[in-house]
Amino acid sequence: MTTPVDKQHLRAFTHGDPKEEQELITLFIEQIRENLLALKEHIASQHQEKWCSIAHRFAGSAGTFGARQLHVLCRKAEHYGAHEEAKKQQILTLLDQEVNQVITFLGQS
Amino acid sequence: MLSHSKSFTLYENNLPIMPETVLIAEDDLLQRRMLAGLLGKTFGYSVKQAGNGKEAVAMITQDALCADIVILDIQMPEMNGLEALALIRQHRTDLPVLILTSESNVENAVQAMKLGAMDFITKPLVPAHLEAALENINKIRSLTREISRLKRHQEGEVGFKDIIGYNRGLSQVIAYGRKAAETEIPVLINGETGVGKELFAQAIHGESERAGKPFIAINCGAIPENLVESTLFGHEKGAFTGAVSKAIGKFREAEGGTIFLDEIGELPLEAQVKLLRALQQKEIEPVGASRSFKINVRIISATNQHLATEVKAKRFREDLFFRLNVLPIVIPPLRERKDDILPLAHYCVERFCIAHHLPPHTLSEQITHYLMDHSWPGNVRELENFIHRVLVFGEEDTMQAKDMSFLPLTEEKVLRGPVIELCALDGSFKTMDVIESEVMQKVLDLHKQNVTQAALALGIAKSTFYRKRAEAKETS
Repeated sequence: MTTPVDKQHLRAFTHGDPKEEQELITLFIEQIRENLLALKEHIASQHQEKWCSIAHRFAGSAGTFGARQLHVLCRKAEHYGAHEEAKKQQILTLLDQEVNQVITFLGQS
Repeated sequence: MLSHSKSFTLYENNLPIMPETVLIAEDDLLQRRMLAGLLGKTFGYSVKQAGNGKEAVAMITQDALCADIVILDIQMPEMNGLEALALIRQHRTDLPVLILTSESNVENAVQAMKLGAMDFITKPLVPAHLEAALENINKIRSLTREISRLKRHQEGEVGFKDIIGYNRGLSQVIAYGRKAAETEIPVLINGETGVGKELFAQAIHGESERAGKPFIAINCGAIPENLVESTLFGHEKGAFTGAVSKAIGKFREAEGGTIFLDEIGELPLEAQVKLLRALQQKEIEPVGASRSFKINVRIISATNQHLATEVKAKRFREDLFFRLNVLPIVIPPLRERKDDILPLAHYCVERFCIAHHLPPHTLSEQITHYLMDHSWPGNVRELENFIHRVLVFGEEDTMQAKDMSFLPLTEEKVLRGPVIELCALDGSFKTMDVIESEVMQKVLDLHKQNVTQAALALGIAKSTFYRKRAEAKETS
């Protein structure tokens, strides 16, 4: 079963330094909370460009961090920029769930 | 699989050996920090960071040499990667730029390549992909340096910056060399075998007004005695048995340029007379010719002998010695400029890897220690041969101690120990006091300046160690 975050991938970036890993985890959790909030704030159609840009950055950091499923969902969100709010809301719900899973996993491991 | 190798730079202008610097321009703090960790801790680069393209461009504008490689994210606020790349190119056309792009924006990467990016990788970042891209960039940089070096050699434009150690162990000597290049003053280069006397002479020539004109090197010790005159000054057809055709000789080959007479001390006395005459009259007379030829040639000579001693022993003409020895330059042996050993070693590794079509290699810690401990009696030439052999014997990209298996056990044991030279540069024996002082310094260095351990190793009391060191200081 795949975990929400590939920790082995993460360790390649920290050279196995636990302190550095913890700092990156804290930074990542802070960022995904901010990104999720920003997406919620820009769900309206007039913010289409901003939505796409937030989703793009969110996808980049999730992918680089090794949160693969979250990365996939963010990519989807990025392409939903021109869609109606209901569609965006659907993806936001999925993102919300995945962010919680990631935070729980990182808190436990 | 990551090799976790340390990356070192060896600039064309031979700045001190140091990890290569990668400048990262990435607006996302987390990704920038992760990338910096990967490059710094795992790959061994020195890392500089910029939060967007504008910051990166400002850093390069301020100091064009602040980075060896730039990694640019494409989507950034203030100034995106493509705009930054275009501006970077205005300052440094040679700076390798690696582009980071998302899978959905590969067309941007194509645009970046058109603007002069060397490569691109897609996000999410995969460490192995980044490592491969950087390896390729380093390979291209090595090849570019080698091509440029060969081109300068071919065009007679070798300069002092081509000499490894020009800004370290050889800085003083090179200052003399530069003075020599500004004038036509005859230079006599003295130094042990393998220190690079010919390269030094080439640099004098390459930085003089004669650059681009012929540089003719001749080893006086390698010419059979009966052919010295015809080799140097040429001969007419039929001038002697075996002279089946006319030859212009080395002096006339060097017309307008420089002739480098290596191992001048080996020149037979009879040829010394003719050389002296050529230098005095600035003309030569080929063997069997009925006329002489004016020559416009600069003379640089070299020897590993103590020529003044040869003069005293009547094996070298005093008048010729004075004419050649207007500016004596002594190139110190490698053991006296240890700071140059690793840069030289890395340079040799780079050159041999290119020559043998091998991937870039690095030196392990054990090999590095060995290189620093060895006294290199054969100087740079011996170091070159050593690196060449280790590369040939090695099977991995990092050169290991086991690759030195070609060294006979006894030789290895002897070479691993510290070496104290008994003779000074002029060939005379050092005094007991000097030798004792050098022994103490060597042991102290080996024990990282711990006097207690050094005294223990030498079997003397700590107080004796201090006393002898003080006496040595007073004497010197």
